[in-house]
This record gives sequence, structure tokens and C-alpha cells, in this order.
Amino acid sequence: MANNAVTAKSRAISGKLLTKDEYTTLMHKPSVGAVAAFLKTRPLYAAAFADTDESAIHRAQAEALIERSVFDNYIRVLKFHTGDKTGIMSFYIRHIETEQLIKAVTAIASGAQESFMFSFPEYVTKYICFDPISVAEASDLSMLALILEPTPYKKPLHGLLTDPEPDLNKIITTINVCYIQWAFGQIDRFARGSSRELLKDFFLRKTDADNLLMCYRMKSVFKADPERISELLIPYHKRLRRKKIDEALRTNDPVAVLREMFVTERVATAKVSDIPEINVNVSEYRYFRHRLAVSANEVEALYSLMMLFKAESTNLFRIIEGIRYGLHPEEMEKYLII
Amino acid sequence: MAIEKVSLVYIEGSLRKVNKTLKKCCESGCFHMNPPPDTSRNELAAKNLKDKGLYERMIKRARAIADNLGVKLDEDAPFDDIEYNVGADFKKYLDELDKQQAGLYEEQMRINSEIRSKGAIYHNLLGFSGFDADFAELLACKYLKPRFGRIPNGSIRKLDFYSEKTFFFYPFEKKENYTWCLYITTSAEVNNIDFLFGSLGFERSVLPDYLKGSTEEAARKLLSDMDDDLVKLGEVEEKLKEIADRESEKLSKVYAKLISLNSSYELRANVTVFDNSFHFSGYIPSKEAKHFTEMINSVGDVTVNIRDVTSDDKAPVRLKNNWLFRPFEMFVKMYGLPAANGMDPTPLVAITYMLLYGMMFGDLGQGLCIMILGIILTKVTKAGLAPIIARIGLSSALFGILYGSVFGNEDIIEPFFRFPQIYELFGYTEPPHDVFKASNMFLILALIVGICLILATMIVNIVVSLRMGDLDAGIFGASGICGFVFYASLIAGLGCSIALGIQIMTPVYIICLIVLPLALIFFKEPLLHAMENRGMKPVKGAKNAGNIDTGLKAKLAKMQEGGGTGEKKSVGMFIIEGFIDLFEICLTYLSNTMSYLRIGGFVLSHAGLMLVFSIIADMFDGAGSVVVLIFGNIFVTGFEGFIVGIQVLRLEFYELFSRFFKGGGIPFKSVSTNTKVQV
Repeated sequence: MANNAVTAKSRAISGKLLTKDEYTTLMHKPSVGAVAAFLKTRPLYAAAFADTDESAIHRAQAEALIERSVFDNYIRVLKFHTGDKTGIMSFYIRHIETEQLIKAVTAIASGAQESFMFSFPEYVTKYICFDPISVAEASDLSMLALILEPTPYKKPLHGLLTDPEPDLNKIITTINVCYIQWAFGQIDRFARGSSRELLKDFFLRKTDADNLLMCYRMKSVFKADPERISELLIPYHKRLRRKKIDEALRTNDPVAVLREMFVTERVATAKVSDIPEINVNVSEYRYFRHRLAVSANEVEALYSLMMLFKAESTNLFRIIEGIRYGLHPEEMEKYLII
Repeated sequence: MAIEKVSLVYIEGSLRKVNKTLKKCCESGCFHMNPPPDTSRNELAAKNLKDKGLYERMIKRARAIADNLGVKLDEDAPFDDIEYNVGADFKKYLDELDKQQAGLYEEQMRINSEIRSKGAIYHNLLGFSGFDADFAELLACKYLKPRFGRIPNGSIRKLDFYSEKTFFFYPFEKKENYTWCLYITTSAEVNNIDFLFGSLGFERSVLPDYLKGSTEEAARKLLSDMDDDLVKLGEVEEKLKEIADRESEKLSKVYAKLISLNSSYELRANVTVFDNSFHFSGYIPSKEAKHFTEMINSVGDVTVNIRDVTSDDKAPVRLKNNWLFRPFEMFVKMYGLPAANGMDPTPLVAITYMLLYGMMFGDLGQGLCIMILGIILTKVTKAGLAPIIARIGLSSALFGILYGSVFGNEDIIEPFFRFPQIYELFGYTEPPHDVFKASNMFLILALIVGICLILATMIVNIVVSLRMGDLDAGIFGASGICGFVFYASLIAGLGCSIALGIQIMTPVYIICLIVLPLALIFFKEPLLHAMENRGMKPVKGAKNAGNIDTGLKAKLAKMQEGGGTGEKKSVGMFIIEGFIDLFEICLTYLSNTMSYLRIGGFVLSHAGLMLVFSIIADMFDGAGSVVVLIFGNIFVTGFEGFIVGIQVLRLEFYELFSRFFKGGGIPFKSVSTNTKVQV
């Protein structure tokens, strides 16, 4: 019963996601306030935007409210779960926790604790394992290590954070690995048979995409050397083995080879843009839309829904950014995940 | 089955006469104007005459004034007594009216804005209830900067992180998502603190410096000011209403006249101008040719040239039917207008719709009720469905007599299936007691009706297709001669052997009348090519034997455009596609025929539904029984009558229209000065 309830609710909510026509309407809005006024009328955003003053709202506020809406909708669906899979069902909370911890580490390392505090979504405080104010008050990474001692991050991060010369990239990779290990642990515990494999696939697909995108960016933008890139890779894969990446990085034209790998390694099956990231996003979006339609498993359904939400919030951020910088709607459309 | 014959009209004349000529065209009420030819690429000095809308600006102005005065304009208002004829007259009237109302309207807007602004401040002030200092004193501070506003609840806890900064924070009322609050900082730190709070989502409420006293005192003063403003607003609105009452009728008439004049100007977009002469074309019903020519010639200096429509002309279509069939044009138009050289299927639709509806929902009492309802609706509404309801009600009543059914009671009139000649014909030895006992008879009759209708529509298709020169659909199509021979022979053969016990399906019969037509359909492409002396190889896109729209002409035209030439396919592919097409055609014949079984099915369901209510009524005594019967009849009439209407329409569109209908007609639209133009 619970299984069906979460799946059915996820599908019902996905029916309320924004349509292409609604995106077109939004892209023609003259200001962030007008976007907020429009979102006020959409069922998934109405509650979060209800009290906003459209004449005063600014970009960061609108983006925060969109994220808030996504989180509220997640909690809404989660309430329909009455079984024993609470652990794995809380993947989105764990995902936000991972994101925030990475933000905290980079903010502390660059002395920008205030910016971390500004952007921290206060509504998740009661769900995560660290206190954001204490984290923001940390003057350096070793102090952060002390704050994280009562949390599960103590063991994997303590050594890295207390290192006199901390390697930021390694810390970030370790936090990401913690998330995947946690997810796999939960999947092994709660899922069986093909569902177990499929759920692991969800995470591994993302790892493949993140690794390849990171390699492509590091090589095409920063011209980083293969050893440096190799250190940043998340040590998990679905199809994209480490060996293949290493070989690609050592070719004469690694950027072209990596670009080709988006297709050959099936990381981006969609070809809607010249920008690999957009193709990856659109491929993921279509895959999870399909999974949500066919899946009978509640975790799969909820995960797929959250991926669709992520795509939608990315679209909204891009539209808001486009409006803010006066981009033509046709130009904005190129960056949408539809 | 008539599509009104139309003639093509060319009108040319001196440019000075263009407006009068257009006016006459509008007055004729029978002129369909053609769009202008594309003049963008011609080398002559021809151009399309599209004036900058002379009256558009004034129409907008009239609307604006009417909006200001709260006057509802009527585009159809009679304007014969309005003597203004040129733009200057209208302009003068609108200027004067504008002068009277503009100042008052601005004052009304100003007071409204004032009230809204004070209302918003009042609303904000309510959030600061509990603030007992004097607003005026605090806002007048030189070194302290107070900021009233609201902050997201989630940000309040974050303020602990900034406890070292120079500000005091006072929360007031807490709402679900926000907390109304005040923070005070120093003038030296104000920029940093404003940035900090802005980043935390603080929304400032800018309070005016005229606020005095505590929250409650300031709110009271605001309310009192708003009351004064409302009094002033009432006075201004009263003056505006006086003007509105005085001018609304005239303004509406002026507006209607402007719309009318502007409409004829819109027509000028279809006029081509060369030197000092104009030219445009259109269509008129052929019977109106003489009258129309006389009307246009009365303008003077204008030439009218009328000629018959050729098959190349894209002539508009106007359906012409008698009073009985005319309401059913609605169904035809829903499907699409027939092509100009096609056939108007309205009479066929009207007859079959009434026939099938009556057969499926035959009840004298209920039918008469439906007819009366249809007549009433026709009188009181303009709904297109109302006259159809009256007609199908009559048909239902007539079939009710045949079925012997009066409000579901089958004992008042003797039904047809109890006549010995009838029931013995269907193999019954004694008269069936009710419809259910005669169910086989109804199903067989339904099939016979279906087969007759299919054959009839095939004949219609053959006639129409051959008349249009479409040999593909007319001869080789599923509803062409080959299809007709195959279907009729198969039905005749099976019917004789099953019903009459006569075996007429001899090998010669089967080969000549069943196999040969199928073979012709199979080889239709090579045969069509042979007939056109274009070789024997089939071309791609030559399937769809059942699709009567892909006529030979269309295919040849496509080939000439290069759409089909050069893409030859293998013999194997040709055979596979041919077999699949044949299979599909045979399946379609079967499913189309079986589809008519629903006629018999609905006769049974009607009797079944009435039987249910009859049994329930028997459970009650006296008034209860009557109430149940009345409710049952209302329910069955509404519920089943509606469903049968939809089912018959489905039969019309899917089983009948698909066999012969060739759409694509352009509706005939007479130009008129009453044409509604969106400005």
C-alpha cells in the first residue's frame, strides 16, 4: 500500500511540473518579480511564493524559494511512506547535506563563511547531522574537523581536515564518496533483486556523468594535467572505467576524445546542444521521466521525481539568470533541460 | 446534395470609386472576397491597398473614454441618427468628451492610488503592533537608522551568526513564513547592515514620514485619512457618472459607426492598385450574378467581369439544403467542408442520422418528448443542435410506433415483430413476446442496415471519385468499383448460403467476383501506371489502397514534383505491402460491418433499461410507482438519448464519411460592414 502511495503521489506531482509552454511564458517575463508572480499561480510553487512581494523579490530570494518548494514537495511525498525504507528514502536530505558540507568546506577554506551562512537553507537544519551556525563559525578546516566529530563524517574526513596542508579537492571527493557509500549501504539493506541493481545504477550513471563532465571542464577550460584530473575522479563507475579516462587524457587531442566519449560511453544520449553538459542533463531528464512512468518501486519513483525537480529548478535558475541579464528568450531556450 | 454554384468575379475601376465599390459589395451580402495576389515580387508598380486604419485610433480612443466612464459599448448599436461622416467629425466629438472626463478621471485615479498606498501602509503597520514608540521621532533620528520590514523565519536563527555586527533586531508579529521586524543600526554601518539583511531576505516596508505616534495611533490616523479620501472619491465618481449617463447612448452609437466604417477599410487590404485603378476579385453565387452586376455598375466607372469557376479555382463552398436537412450541415462542417467540386453529404447525413437514431432509440413517448424539447430549444435559443433534436425526436417517435414502445410500455401498440409475416421470415414459429425474445431478429436487421449503408456509400464514392477523375479511389480503392464488387459478392454469396440455403459461391463466382477484384486492388499501382502509360513498376508511396484521398491525380502531381519518382522498390517489398494492404482492407470490411451491430444492441439496451425501471416501479404502490416511472423515463431519455446521439455520430463519421468524403473546402464568407474587426 505504502509502496503504491509514494509511487502514485510521485507521478501525480510530476504531472504538475512546468510544461514547455509555461517555460516559454516564463522566458518572456520582463523581471524576476514577474517570474515570482507566475510561480505563485503554479501548484508546486504556490505555497512557498505565497507571501512574496513581487515588487521587492530579488534573484537569490527567488532561487531560494524554488529550492524550498522542491524540498517541501519532497517532504510531502515522503509523508506517504509508511514502510521500513526510511533510510534510503532520505537520499535527498543526504544529498543536500553533502552539498552543504562541500559549500562549507570551500567557504571556510576561502574565508567566506558569511556567504555560506547567507545561502544555507535553514529549513533543512533539523534534518542534517551538523549545526550550520557552528560550521560557519569555524575559522579553519581543523576547527571544522572538531565540529564534525559527533557526525559520521569524522572517520573519513578527520585526517584530511586536520592536515597542515589540506587538499580541498580530495576532501570534496571524499564527501561525495561518503554519499555514494551511504546510498549503496542503504540500497543493500532495503532493496532486493533487479531493483537493487537499478537503484545502484541511478547513482553510478550520475558518477559517470560527473566524472566525464569534470574531466572535460578541467581539460578544456583549465588545461589541467592528467594526474591532477585523476585525483579528482570519484572512484565509482557504471560504464566509464578509470582506464578509459586515463587513456583519453593521454591522447593528442584529449578534449575531442572526451567530447566523443559523451556519446560512445552513453553518458549523453540526447544531442540537443553543442554544450555537453546540456546533452547530459537532457539525457538524464528523459531517462528519469521514463523511469518515473514505468517504475513500480517507490524509491525509484521518488528518486526519479527528485531528478526531474532538479532539472526543473535548474531551468528556472537559468531563466531567472537570463531575465536578469536581458537574454533573448531564444537564447535562454538553448540552455533549458526539456 | 447541393453545393451552391458560384461564379468568379473580377472587379476593376477607377481608384476614386474603390470605397463605394467595396460598400456595394458589402451591401450585396453575397460577395466572398479573395485575398490579394502577392505583389512583393512583381515588376509592375502594383501594390496592395492597405491604408493605415483611419478609424482605428478613434476606435481605441472611444474605448478608452468608455472605460474611464464605465460605459459598456455595443458594437451592434444602430447608428443611423449619427450624422458624422468624416474623421474630423468623430475627432471633434471625442475631443469634447475627453475634455469633460479626462480631468475627473485623473483625479479619480489619483485618489484611488492614494487610498491603495495608505491601505498598503496600514496593512504593513498591523505587522508592527506592539511598537509603542513614536514613529515620527524614530524616523527623524540623525545617527540611528531604523528599518521596518519582514524577514523569512528561517533567517532569524542565522542572525546569531552575525551577533558581533552593529544592529539591534526587534521581532514583532510572526507569520507562517515571515516575521515582521525592525532593525536599527548606525548611519555609519547602515550600508553593510542593509546588505546583510538584504542577503537574508529582509523586505523593507518604507514608511512615510507623516506617520506619528505608536502603531495604533498611526493606524487610526491612516484610517481617518482614507475615509476622507473615500468621500472625495465618491464626489468625483458622481460627476463621472453624470457624464456617462448623458453620453453613453451617443458614445455607443458613434463607436458602432466607427467599427462599421473601419470594417470596410479593412477590406481594402484585399485590393490591388495599379496606377490610378483598383482591382480585386471574389466569388458570388451564380444566381446572384445579374443582381450583383447591376449593383456594382451603379457606382459608375467600374467594370465587372463574371466567369464560371474552373477546376483549378479554389472556389469557396456554400452548402445549400432544404429546411429539413439544413440543421445537419453542422455535423458536416464539424468534419470539414466538402471540396468545391465534391459532393455535399448533408442530405445523406440527415437521412441516415435520423434513421439510425430512430432505430437505436425507438420510443413513441420519449421520442415525442425529445421532439417537443427540440422545438422549445429552437424557439428560445440559437443552439445549432436544437433543430436536430426536434428531428431525431420525431424519428424516434416513428420508430417507437414500429417497435410498439410507449414510455417503455410494449403492450399499448402491437410491435412489428409480432406480425406473422415478419417473425416467420426470421425463422420464429410463434410471435416473440418482447424485444429480448426477438433479439436475433434485431441483430440481423442491424447487419442488413449496415451492409446497405456501406454499399450505398460505396456507390456515392464511386460516383464522386469518377466525377472528379480520381481513378484510384473510384475503381481500385476499397470503396471503389473493385471494393464494391468484392464486398457485395461476398455478402450475397454468404447471405444466400446461410439464410436461403442457396449455394451460389461456385468456383467461377469466387474467381470472377471475389478473387479478381482483390487482385485488381493488389495490382492497382502497376495498372494505374499502365493506364497513364508510365511504365509498370510500382512507386514508393503507392500503398493505402483504402485511402481514397490519395487519388491518381494527387499521386501523379507528387511524382511530377519529384516526390515519388526514382524511389523504386523491390518486388518482394511490393508483394508484402500489397498483402498487408489487402489484409487491412478485408479486416476493415469486417469491422465496419460488425460496427453496425450496435444498432441492435441499443434497441436491446433501451428495452433493458426500461424493464429495470418497470420492475422497480412494481415494487411501489400508487404515487411511488408513478414517480419511479417518471424518473426512469427522464433518466433513460437523457442518458440513453445522449449516448445514442454520440454513437450515431460516430457511425456517420467513421463508417460513412471515411468512405466517400473529400474535404478541404473553403467556407464562403460574405463580406459585410458588420464584420467584427479586432483593433
